[in-house]
Amino acid sequence: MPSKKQAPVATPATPADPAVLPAGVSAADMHAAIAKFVAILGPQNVVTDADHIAPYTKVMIAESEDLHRPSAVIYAREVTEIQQILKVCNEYKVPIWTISTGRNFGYGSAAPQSAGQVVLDLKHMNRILEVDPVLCTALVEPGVTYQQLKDYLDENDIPLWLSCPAPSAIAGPLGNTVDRGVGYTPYGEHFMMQCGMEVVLADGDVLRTGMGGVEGTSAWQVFKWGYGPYLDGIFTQSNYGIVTKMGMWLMPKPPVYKPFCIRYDKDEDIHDIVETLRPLRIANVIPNAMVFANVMWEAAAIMPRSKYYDGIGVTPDSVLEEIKAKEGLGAWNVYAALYGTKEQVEVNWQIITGAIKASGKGTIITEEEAAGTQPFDYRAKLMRGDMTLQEFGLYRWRGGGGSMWFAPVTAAKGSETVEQTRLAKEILGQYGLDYVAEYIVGMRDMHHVVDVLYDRSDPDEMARAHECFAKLLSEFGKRGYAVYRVNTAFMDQAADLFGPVKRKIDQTLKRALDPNGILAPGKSGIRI
Amino acid sequence: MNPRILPLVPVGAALLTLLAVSAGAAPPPPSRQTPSGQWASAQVVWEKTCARCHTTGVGPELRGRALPPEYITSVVRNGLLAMPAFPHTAIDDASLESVARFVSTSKLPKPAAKR
Ligand SMILES: Cc1cc2nc3c(=O)[nH]c(=O)nc-3n(C[C@H](O)[C@H](O)[C@H](O)COP(=O)(O)OP(=O)(O)OC[C@H]3O[C@@H](n4cnc5c(N)ncnc54)[C@H](O)[C@@H]3O)c2cc1C
Repeated sequence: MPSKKQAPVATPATPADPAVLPAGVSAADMHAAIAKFVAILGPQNVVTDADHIAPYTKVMIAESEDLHRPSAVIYAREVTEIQQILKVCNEYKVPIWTISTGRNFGYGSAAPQSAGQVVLDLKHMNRILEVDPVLCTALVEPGVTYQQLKDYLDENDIPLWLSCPAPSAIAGPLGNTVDRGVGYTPYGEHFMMQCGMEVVLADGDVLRTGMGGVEGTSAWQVFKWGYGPYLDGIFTQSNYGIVTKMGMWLMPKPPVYKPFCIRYDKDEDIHDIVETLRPLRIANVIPNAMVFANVMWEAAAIMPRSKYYDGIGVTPDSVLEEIKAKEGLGAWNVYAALYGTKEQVEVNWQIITGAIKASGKGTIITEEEAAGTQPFDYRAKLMRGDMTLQEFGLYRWRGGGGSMWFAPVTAAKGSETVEQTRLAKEILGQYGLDYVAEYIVGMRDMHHVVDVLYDRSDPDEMARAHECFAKLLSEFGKRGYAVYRVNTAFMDQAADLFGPVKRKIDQTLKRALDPNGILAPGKSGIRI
Repeated sequence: MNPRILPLVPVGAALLTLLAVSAGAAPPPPSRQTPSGQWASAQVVWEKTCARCHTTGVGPELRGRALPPEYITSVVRNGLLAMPAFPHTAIDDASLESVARFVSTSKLPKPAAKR
């Protein structure tokens, strides 16, 4: 039989010289570096054309994408490739910005902190290296998504649950954890549940943290601290290395899962919510990272604000009252869950309902009462680490696709939430922006997450949002409040809030570990 | 009684027997490196990504509008307002073209009959 003629495989052309250059790098050096990247990775893994670069320039933050446009994007699949890339970067002083799954929406997305940095996209390194169903641990590469890990657990019938950020369906555990992101299960503080890393350092050395350096160890994914100085922390929210493997703990699927909501009518109830629920969280009666979401966050999950308000600027309080009444939403809406055996859940349910009754406010809504409606349904998914993108509903509230997370840390005290809520609302109001907020409850802290929503297609509103964000940082800073994480436009301003000595130590480490400053310059305000 | 000092029910035999996996079970094999951006079918990428916003009221309904496939691929690559951009490592050209055709030729499902 005559064999079918194969269509000739087109050899990708050598990439063109990039449209933008990193600061301080000449066109000739960049040209030479690109040629060497091609020699290491092959031409199909080094891209500079507009079509391939475009997705990496889409940002939600209130700055021109030109300030964050990469010169090139490169894809690596192996640690040895990364080591060779770093050699080239050191030779030509070319900076690289590493992303794992690149879904850092509202924090800078996939774009680098400054223009011209080469994006190193590790999405192709997507092996799930190990899931130990006995010890309930996993070891993953950077490109693994939560969806991929969930599918793997389902296909192999492994009764373990994930903990994910709200855009779970497209983000990934390694990128989220090294940026110290959070989820909503009892394992919601992701970095706390991380155990062991492999890191490629700027000089090409490959470090395994914790027990990972011990030949033949069986404890890399079970004992976090190893021996001597604990190092994992310096590879989070930093630019000291490229994380190529990460261990994490997974939660056994509980026999009973009981998500619930508690609805509160008044804005000022936030004080009593915190005072009533903090003791239950600290005592682990409520074991998960519960949330207190305000009315606009809730409303955005089900409709655009134009359903009730067509005007501009801040949504008037009278409109919010109408929304609460007609849509059955609280001023604050608590989402928490119980996990365990039937007996455990029953005991804790009694404690919680007793505490709510004793506090004299709050209406409890069970899963049965919510009957599959939003936003309860997606909250219930998040609190069991399931896949959803429902929270993108936030962006239809005002439209225009602009978003920056302002996320100050709050001590879990009622008085502090009252003060932070008042201040945030006041500052946003000065710029015509809405207070769309939730508190995500940690062990003793809360992340007060405010989505600074604005219309990115309106240059005027974008400029206002930028100014507003700077003021939020500075006014909160004056009162001793600072953020847990920030977008690429405000990394220096946020770093300043943590004091000059912290900045100096960050820089000392940078100079020691990456003397040419090739790794993600500007991340968390750190440069050589 | 003060809820703070109530003892937690110990994780006893009941929970242990409910956990299906014992120390003797063989661990599952590691997953292979899969070509990132390649999807099994248009249906799969639609269900696991697009549909999560575009059938839930979060993003606009796309089905039954005969949207040109080139328009769809352009929005996916570049993003649009709140719609994130998807690079080639998230969905390669072949998978994108196939899901764009799938959406372009899809029909809007009839609303479920009221009970
Ligand atoms: C509607 C909405 C809701 C959200 N809710 C949450 C939420 O609940 N919790 C939350 O945490 N976030 C949330 N986010 C923000 C963000 O989308 C997630 O944190 C997301 O997980 C980050 O993207 P990623 O996982 O793809 O990580 P990446 O984008 O891959 O990585 C994040 C950052 O970590 C660094 N990094 C990544 N990989 C490496 C590496 N290999 N080595 C060294 N450094 C590296 C880089 O600086 C990178 O920018 C939300 C966003 C939206 C739009």
